[in-house]
Amino acid sequence: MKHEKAQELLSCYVDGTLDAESSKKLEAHLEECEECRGDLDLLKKTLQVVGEIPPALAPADFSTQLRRKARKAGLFERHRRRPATRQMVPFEATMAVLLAAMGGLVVSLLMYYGHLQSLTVEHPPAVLLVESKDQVNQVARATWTVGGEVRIPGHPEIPTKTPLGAPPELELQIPHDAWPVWKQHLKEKGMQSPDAPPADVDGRLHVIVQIRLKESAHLPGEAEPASTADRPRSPPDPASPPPGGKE
Amino acid sequence: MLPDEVSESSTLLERRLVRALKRGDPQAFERMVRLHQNRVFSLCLRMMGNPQEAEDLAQEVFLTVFTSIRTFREESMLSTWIYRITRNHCLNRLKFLKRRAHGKKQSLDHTRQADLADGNVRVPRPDHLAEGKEMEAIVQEQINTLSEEHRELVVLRDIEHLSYDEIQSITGLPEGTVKSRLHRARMELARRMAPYLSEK
Repeated sequence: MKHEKAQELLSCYVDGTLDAESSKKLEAHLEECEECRGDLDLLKKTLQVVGEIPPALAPADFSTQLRRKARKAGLFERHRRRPATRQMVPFEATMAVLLAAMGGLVVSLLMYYGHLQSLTVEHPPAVLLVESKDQVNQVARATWTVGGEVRIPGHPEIPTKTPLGAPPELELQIPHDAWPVWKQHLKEKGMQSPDAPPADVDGRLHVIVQIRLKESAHLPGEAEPASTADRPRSPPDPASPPPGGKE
Repeated sequence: MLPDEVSESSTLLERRLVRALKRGDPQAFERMVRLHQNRVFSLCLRMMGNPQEAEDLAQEVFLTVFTSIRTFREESMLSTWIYRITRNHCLNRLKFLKRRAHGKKQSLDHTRQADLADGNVRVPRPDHLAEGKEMEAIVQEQINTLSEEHRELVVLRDIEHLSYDEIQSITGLPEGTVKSRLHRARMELARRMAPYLSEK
């Protein structure tokens, strides 16, 4: 085998993708050619080092930041408005147009209302009581780690970093399939996680958890101002129906 | 469950996910991001060599995926299609940075040797090199010095461990070109790595 040909085949030889006959010829050449032996050795060492590079992981708040960008770009708004636009069908007769428009409006509202409900969690939120501000931040970090989202009720900005300033109450959105991992994170931090919420119909929705400092806690069902259990799960949206008509 | 059943099941799940994405479902978007964010970020990081640049680019990739999912003809795996978009974004960004940095020093293309010539960077002696992070940083720096067409093949094959078929599908290059170009890329990288590998 010629030297140039041998050089070309070194990479495939290391990969193990060279056929038996070519491998044999290359090996015969390697016995005679010091330069090719040196290159092969260098190639193997390089690929070993490169192959040992661990996979890079996306930052913990990657999906949160991305969701914010997507909302800002209005990507999801287009999706939410689509059902309403589908109901608009032209008619020739005036009465028919009026009736259809009224009917369409009712149907649209129902669909839109139903769709909004499908975007939120229909189960009451789980409640997690924590002992200290430090634990608040630990829970927030665990939530970001599993791809969840942390909100401070009443604040449109979604925080992505700790310390959160320890507000008296936080709302967490945790992907349903990440629930066990999230619980495990809490367990490792010595915290007791809330009871498992009922499973969602298709397992796709988020679990809402309210996190409260123990000293300011209100258990669900107790007299509580502003009824946080009924609060919309999404940030204030001008297109959303008023909270009272949601549930 | 048998391997074929697993594969069939994951194909069905992927079809459902793609259908939901085509409907513009925000939940599907989140699921898609969770499934692919690490690999997309990793590819961006290895191609760009800069974590912040990689994060911004990876996010742009997902926004592009979501807005152009209707053009996905499902002739390949969703992951391959996402990788193709990622690769294109990276190459475009590298070209943009190169144009912008034309005529002046560009941080992404700084070679260790160039920095050494400037006398502003500490270069560990090969015999003092620690394993792990430091070697990873050196490999990344040397990858940054490769041309874009060499860099992408080293990253896809030797870091992301993709098959030749997947690489062909992502890059659109024929098999022979992938193999010969990959060999040249590897040898170029090997020569640049040689001073750091003498003690290994």
